[in-house]
Parts: sequence; C-alpha cells; structure tokens
Amino acid sequence: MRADLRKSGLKFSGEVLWGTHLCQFYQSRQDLIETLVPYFKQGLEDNEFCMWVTSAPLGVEDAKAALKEKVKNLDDYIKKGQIEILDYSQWYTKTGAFEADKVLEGWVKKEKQAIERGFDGLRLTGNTFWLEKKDWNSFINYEAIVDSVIGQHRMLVVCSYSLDRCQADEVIDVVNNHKFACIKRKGKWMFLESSERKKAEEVLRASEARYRLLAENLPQKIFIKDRNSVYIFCNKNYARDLKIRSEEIAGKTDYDFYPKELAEKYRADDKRVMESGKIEDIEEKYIQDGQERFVHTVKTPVRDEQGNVMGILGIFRDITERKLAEEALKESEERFRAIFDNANDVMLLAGVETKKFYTGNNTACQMLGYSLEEIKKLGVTDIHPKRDLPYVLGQFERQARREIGVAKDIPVKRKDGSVFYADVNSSLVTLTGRTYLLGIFRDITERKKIEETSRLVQLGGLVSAMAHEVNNPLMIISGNAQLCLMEEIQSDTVKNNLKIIVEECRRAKDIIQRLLKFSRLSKDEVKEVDINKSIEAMVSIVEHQFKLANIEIKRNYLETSPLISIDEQQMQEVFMNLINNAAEAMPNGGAITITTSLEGDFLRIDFKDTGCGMSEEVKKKALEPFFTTKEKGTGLGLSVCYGILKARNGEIKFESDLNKGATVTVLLPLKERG
Amino acid sequence: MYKILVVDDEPNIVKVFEAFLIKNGFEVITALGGEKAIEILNTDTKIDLMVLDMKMPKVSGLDIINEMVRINKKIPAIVLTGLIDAEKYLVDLNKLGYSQEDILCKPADLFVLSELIKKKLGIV
Repeated sequence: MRADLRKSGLKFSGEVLWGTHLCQFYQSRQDLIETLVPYFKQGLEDNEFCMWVTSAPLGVEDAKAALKEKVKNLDDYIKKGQIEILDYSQWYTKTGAFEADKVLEGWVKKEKQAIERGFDGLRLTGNTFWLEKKDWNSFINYEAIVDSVIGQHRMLVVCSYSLDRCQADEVIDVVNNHKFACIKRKGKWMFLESSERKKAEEVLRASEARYRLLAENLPQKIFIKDRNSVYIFCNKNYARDLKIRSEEIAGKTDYDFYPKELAEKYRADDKRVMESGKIEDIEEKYIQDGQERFVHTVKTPVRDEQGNVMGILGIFRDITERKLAEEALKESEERFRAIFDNANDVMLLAGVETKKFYTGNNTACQMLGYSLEEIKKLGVTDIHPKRDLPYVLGQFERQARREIGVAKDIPVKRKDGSVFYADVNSSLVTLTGRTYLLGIFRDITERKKIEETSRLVQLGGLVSAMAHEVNNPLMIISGNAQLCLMEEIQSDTVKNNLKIIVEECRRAKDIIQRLLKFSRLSKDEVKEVDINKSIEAMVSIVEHQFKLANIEIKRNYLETSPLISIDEQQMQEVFMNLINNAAEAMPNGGAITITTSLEGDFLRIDFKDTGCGMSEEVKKKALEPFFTTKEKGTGLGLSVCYGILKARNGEIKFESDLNKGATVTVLLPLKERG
Repeated sequence: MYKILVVDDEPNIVKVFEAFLIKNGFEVITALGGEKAIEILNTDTKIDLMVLDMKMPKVSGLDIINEMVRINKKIPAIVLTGLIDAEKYLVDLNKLGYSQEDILCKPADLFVLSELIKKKLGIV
C-alpha cells in the first residue's frame, strides 16, 4: 500500500489519500454515528491522531459513548492522547466568533504535533450544526481554503452538514468545496459528486495521463526528488536502470543505488541547483549494470505555487554512444591532423569559388611564415607575387576544373616577401557540402638549384670544348690580317679595317680565356688559407687604381682570421670579380666595404658598395652565363664565381635595392661537409 | 739564316706562320701534324728553333716533347697552347729546359711571336 493511501473506514469510500476532504449530509444522530464511529475506529487502529469536534445533535458524551461501543479500549486511546473529542465551542468559536485563519492554523498545528509525536497524520471531523446563517459565507470560504491547502497535508477531513438546515444553493456550495460528498437517502449512503469537480477531475486525470504518457515514453530518464534529495517519482525508463518498478522509487535516495562517491556528487548537484534555483546542464559519469556510462543531465528546481523550491526534477539521457563517437571522431581528426601537419609538403585548402584558405598544415605555416590564424584570413592571391597572379590563378582555375593535376614552377611569396618555387599538386575535396582545392606544394628550390648547377656544369664543358675549337680559326684570321698589314697598303681604310680584325680577335681571345677559366673548375688545389690575407692580396692590387677613381675600400675583417680550406687561386678570382663589379657599379666613386664574419658553420664575406644597385631582374639573372649589364662584359664573371663557390659547397647571395647600392655575400663552409 | 720548324695540324695556321717567318727573314720548314714533325726532328739536324702547337690529333705536342727527351734532342721552342693547358704541360716542358716564357697562347700576336723567336735565338 502506498504510504499516503489511508483506509477511510467509510462504507462508501474505501481507501483515500492523505489530503482528502469529504462532506456528509445527515438527517439524524444515527446518520452521524454510522459514519463517524467506523471512521475514527479505523484511524485509531492505523496510528492516526484523531479529533472529533462535536455539535448537536451528537454532543461530546454521546459521541464518546457511541465510539466506545465499537472501540472497547477507547479510554486507553484517550489516555495516550491519540484522540480528542470536544465541543465546537472549544474549537471553531474559541474566541467567541468563527475566524477561518485561526481555525486553519489550528489544524495545521495539530497535524504537525501529531507527526512529531509519531502518528502518521491527522484524522478529523467537524459538525456544522452550530453554524449561524450570518457565518455561512465566511465558513464556506474557509472550506474552500481548507480544500485547496489540505492536499499538501497528511490530513483526512470529514465535514458534517445537517441537511435540514441547508438550502439547495447551500448544498451546492458545500459539495463544490469537497472532494466527495455523501448523503443517506432511503436508508442507503450515496455519493454526491459536483459536475464541476467531476469535470475538473476528468481534465486533471486526462492531463495526468498525458504527462504520465509523456514521462514514460520519453527516451530520457526522469525523476523528481524532494528537498532532501529523496526520490518522489521516476519514470519506467529510469526504474529499469535501477532494476526496480517505478512505484518503488518513493522514499529511496541515491545511496540506495549508487556508490557512495557518486551519490554524494549527485546530492551536491541537487543541493546546488535547489539553492541557486537555477537550471543546470551537467555531463557526468553514471553507473549502469556496473558499467561506466556518460549521461547528460538537466536538473531543474521544482517550485510550489508560492515559488518556494520544493525539490528537484532531473531529466537525463545516456550519451555514451555519442560520447564514444565524438571521441573516435576526435581521435580520427587528430590522427589525420598529425599526418596533415607532419607532411613535408605545404598543404593548403582553398575554396574553389572564394579562393580563400580554409586551413593549412604546419609546413605551410613554417614555409610561408604565417600563423594558422593568419593563413585562414588569407587567400590564393595573397601568397604569390603580384605579377605572377594571372598565371597562378589560371593554373588554379584549370586545377579546379580538373584539367591539370600539377601546376609546375609556381612562385610562392612568404610573409617576409621572399619567394620560393613549388610544384603544386592538387585535388578537389568536398567538406560539409563545399568544394575545396587541396594544394600540395613541393618546394623545388633545391631541385632548381641542382638543375641550375648541372646546367652550368654542362655549359662549362660545352664552353671549354668550343673555346678550344675557336682558338685555331681565330689564330688564322688574326694571323692573316697581321700578314696583310705587313704588305704595302695604300688605303688607310683597308689598313684600319685589318687593324680592327686583329683587335677584335684579341678580344675574342680574352672571352675565350675567361670561358676556359669557367670550365676548369674541377681542377682543385685545396689548402688551408688565411682568408683575410687572401682578400687583402687582391685588395692591394686594385687599391691604388681605385683611389684614382675616387673609390675607397673599407676593411671590416674578423680579428682572428679563420683558416679555411679552399683553392686560393680560384677564390681570389672570385674576390677580384666581386671587387671589380662593385667598383664598376660606382662610376662616380664611392666606397666598398669588405666584411668578414662567422655565420653558423659558414664564413661570411660581404662586399658592399654604394653604387647603382641591382634590380630584381638583374638579381635573378646575375648568375647566368653571358648575362651582363656592362657594355663590354662577357657575362661570365659571376657565373665563374658561382661555379667556384658551388664546388666548395659555398653560396653567393645578392641583396640590393635599385640605386641604393648592393651587397654581395659569399658564404664558405668552415668545415668541409662530408 | 736560322731554320725554323713550324708544327701544327691546321694547314692554314702553318701557312700563316710560314709566310710571316719568311717575311721576317727565316728559313721555314713545316710539318702538318705530329708524325711528320717527329720524322723531321729525327732527320734534319739543322733546325734552330721549333714553333709547336700542343693540341694536335694522333701525335700531340706533348708526344713530340717526350720523343725529343728520348732522343736527347735539345732545341729552343715556342709552344703554342691554350692558357689553361699551359700549366699542365709545364712539368714536361721543363724537361727540355722550356719555361713559362716559352709559351704563347693561341691566337698569338705575330709580332709578339717574332720578338720571342729573336730573343730565343739571340738576335738583337
């Protein structure tokens, strides 16, 4: 039996819930005895505190006598203080007149005392025979209040009304204010139900059924606990987890179902929500069948009509599958991200339409010098030199149309403005309905350098072979011209022309000699050289001549000159070339600053001039054989330098702005690389 | 009159030197290629000086030098070669007492050639 379901002892009512408010219409003393004696007998037997407020036609003594007939040990109950039988004047009109508030307060107080004394609740009855017409309205109001508040109390109330003293409209008032009304007619007790009450009950029942249906059919687990975190209700879904029937939940706590730690946590959550009065959304662990699960719980404070927090409503859902899926997804995402980030190639994902970057890998960040956040704000047009954009975008479009897979030799601009070259392999990728072009950029700078070097080496061989072949015809041309000049020649023009032939042959010879130098790079005589001395030897040759041209040479050498393994003659060729180039860039004079310094594993030598500088175009082509900016240059000086330095694992770099001078930097490895 | 042997595998070069040296008052004997030169060197004892091209097919200038070392034939020579190659021949040339001074680079200035020849032969 449910704890709040009581035996009424009434023939017509059977079991009733605490909080039931009944009324009966009687016509005789006998009517009252027939109902109230079994009513109290049952209450006394069921450990309820009983109060019988009497009035004519059944006074205190009559009531006691009637009850004693059925309850033999009534005196014991009276002695024990389980029942009080008193006159209406001792209760309803104690203060001389009827005061609804005070009477109601009195009942609640009695109930509280009863419970404190260990009784299950309060069972009472009051007869209204005493009620005067003038008090009718205020009593009816009182009854309405009793009816509305009694539902929350452990009280059973039977109000007795004399049918003879009630008008028809008064009967309606009474019936409306009670859960049940009964009346004895033709010797039989009958129920009277108010249609309004019936309707309200139907609505309430329908609503209750609807809510129950909802609660039982939601996939969520639902419970309600009281202020002390004691369960009042749970749906079947939750009961199933707890391996109980849902009716069994009332009176249980989390300690009955969960390990102490978890129960304590749940209680703490309940307490916090009830104290703050705020709804909380909690993702937490949960044990089901001894297995750890994840649940998503919403805890909502439950309030009474006055807004006081009465308990807590919990709704939770098992999210273990989702959580596991999320974790698997996260792991998979991390795994792919790791592959993506650790790839040696730059990877960028750009919208096909927008050409904006969606994401990029670590290598992209490193190579381009941007953070990932910065990359996400950039687009294709931001990472290529402006003048190459038409070509690059054209390639992008073609890749987007799948016309080509690889775009070769694409110049890529870093954040600092420097440029590297890459072959870009692409594929179309669809993510959340959008199409992106995934570009995999392979840095081909090294490969280009190697190609360049091998091109130069090949060219060197060709040049060398050609130079040898050209020597003889030149010898013949020049020799014959010289022979002619030894003849008697009348015409000055012919004489002059012959001289030009001889002169130009000499120039051709110079060119060939330089070409030959360019081709003899494999011949090494490597020894340890004091680099400062080696540079200085070249400087001293030209210094006097430069002074006349108003060119100053500033020395900025390392104090301790590093020894370095090089072919000195070749290296001096390099130095001489660079010094001469610097001087030639300053036809109106200036200064050449020669600096030696250490840079990592390299010795760095800078030749800085204050001359006309180098344009981007010139910088790009400076190392190409036969490229020259000089009127009578061979275009081989820097090619030779480059070849010499490359053979020694060295480097040559140019830094210049047009009209602001140039710095040519030579890097030589301090230790010979394996 | 000094007798000069001109050795080269190119007929036009031989002709230029021959014409020039005759104009300068020398007796000239020519060898087109190394084989011929060795033959002359072995038979003609009256050669005062040799103008020798190092780079020739089959029998090269270097082969001739080595043959001269073998038969112990020591005559002054002007060696014609590319600048770079000159260095690598120097060791062999030294065996016959020739030095850097005796080397001329092609295409040689004929005036420089005649000055050098005169110097070698001690003609002032």
